Amino acid sequence: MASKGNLTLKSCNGKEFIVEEKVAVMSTTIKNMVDVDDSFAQGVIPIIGVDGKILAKLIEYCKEHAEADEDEEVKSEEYLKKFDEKFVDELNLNDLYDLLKASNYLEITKLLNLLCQKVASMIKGKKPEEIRRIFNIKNDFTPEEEEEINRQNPWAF
Amino acid sequence: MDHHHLPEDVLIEILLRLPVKSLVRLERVCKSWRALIKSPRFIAIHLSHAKNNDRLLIKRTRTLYPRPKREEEPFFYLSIHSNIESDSSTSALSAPEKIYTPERCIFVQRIGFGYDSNKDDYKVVTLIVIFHLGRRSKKLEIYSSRTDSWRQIDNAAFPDMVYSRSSVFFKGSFHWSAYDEAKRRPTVFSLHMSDEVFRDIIEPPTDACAYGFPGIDVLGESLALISWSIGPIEQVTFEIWVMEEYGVVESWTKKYCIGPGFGEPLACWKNELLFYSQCGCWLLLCSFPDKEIRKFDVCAQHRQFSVVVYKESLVSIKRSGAEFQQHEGWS
Repeated sequence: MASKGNLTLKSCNGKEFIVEEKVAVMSTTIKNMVDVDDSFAQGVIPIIGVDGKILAKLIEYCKEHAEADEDEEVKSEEYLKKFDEKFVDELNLNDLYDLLKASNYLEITKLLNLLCQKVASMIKGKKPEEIRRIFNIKNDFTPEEEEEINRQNPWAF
Repeated sequence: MDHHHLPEDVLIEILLRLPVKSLVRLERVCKSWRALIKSPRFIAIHLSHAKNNDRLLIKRTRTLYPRPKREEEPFFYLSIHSNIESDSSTSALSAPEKIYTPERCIFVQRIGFGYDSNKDDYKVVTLIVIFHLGRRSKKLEIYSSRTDSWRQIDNAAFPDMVYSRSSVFFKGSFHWSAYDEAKRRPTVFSLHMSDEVFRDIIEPPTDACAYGFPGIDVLGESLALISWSIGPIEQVTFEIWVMEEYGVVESWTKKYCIGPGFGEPLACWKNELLFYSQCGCWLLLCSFPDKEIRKFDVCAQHRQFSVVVYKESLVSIKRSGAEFQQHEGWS
């Protein structure tokens, strides 16, 4: 049971995290749940489809940003920028993908933007073949179809 | 990581952050990406997305001093800027531009390019004044990308003297700065892309025309007039007038007064004003309202800059360039 001002979040594999309310409500989804139903604020909030490892990452991110929102002097814009850079750089592809899905579901807009920007910079400038390999995407075009796409936009390849 | 499990709205968020060239390349990744990138909905979101900034294309001519090390060094340089710090790509033209000599010197052309939101149609318009055997006639020619054809409207009602350096597309209309001979004063007239009617409703205040033809542009979200005094470059001052409420003549407001000692204005870029440095070799950017001046890291011969503000888009105009040039007005 969380003390006043704290919320308990439970991952899909049963791990519980006690976090400050200001950290948890960085997620619009959680904020709506708490606002609508008071029992969530007292009990345990299940975070569906997000495992303990990813939830811990989400909380790490939200904690830094919630503290920065509260006191700009302690955590400056520059500090946050460095934190964000380090945060995304340390992610492997699977975690990046899981975090994308989780931050989309939990509506943590700042984090979603950060992760989308990270994936976009991974994609930018790469050949279709490299992108398929990185993201494990199956090529469902015939060689003729691929040739036709190349022919339509020769300037892009 | 398997994209098939990535929600489509997340994939859209990612793709919106990419330049057009990358997106076109991504069409070849797989069928579902291609369908998404080519969908009218995605094309529309991409065009209006905040990350899709107005970009700046700068053409500059090689400096004479210091002399180039090798004679074959390019004469013109093009660079694309998404902000003053970054220079996303620079390409150099190896040969001087082809000099264009029209075969028939009987008309004066002004060209505009705009979007008709009613018909989802991109249009190119040309204003043509024909001086022939002492007589003068005017016509308007309109190219529609939807029908892929040109139309001609004779006896078009636009002023005789349309200022060449100054035109802008804003709120569904193309605007030009001109001189109204009947009223003997500068004017701003527009051509609406949907009804194709000329209007000169947005008469500029007399004070804004104290120096002659004002330049017309869009500063931030407003139609703006830029006028500057004539005289030695170190004494030039310029004024920026903004139409606070579009279409309301009374809402013209003198917003900023700049100079002397700054140089000469060139164009607006987002919320800032581009202008020449006093020596004419540098391009400067002035932000508002603090009037902070920053310098582009590009140098040219005296006043040899041309700038175009544009937005990247996935919208496709069907006709190819080669066919386009065959239009008789372009002979």
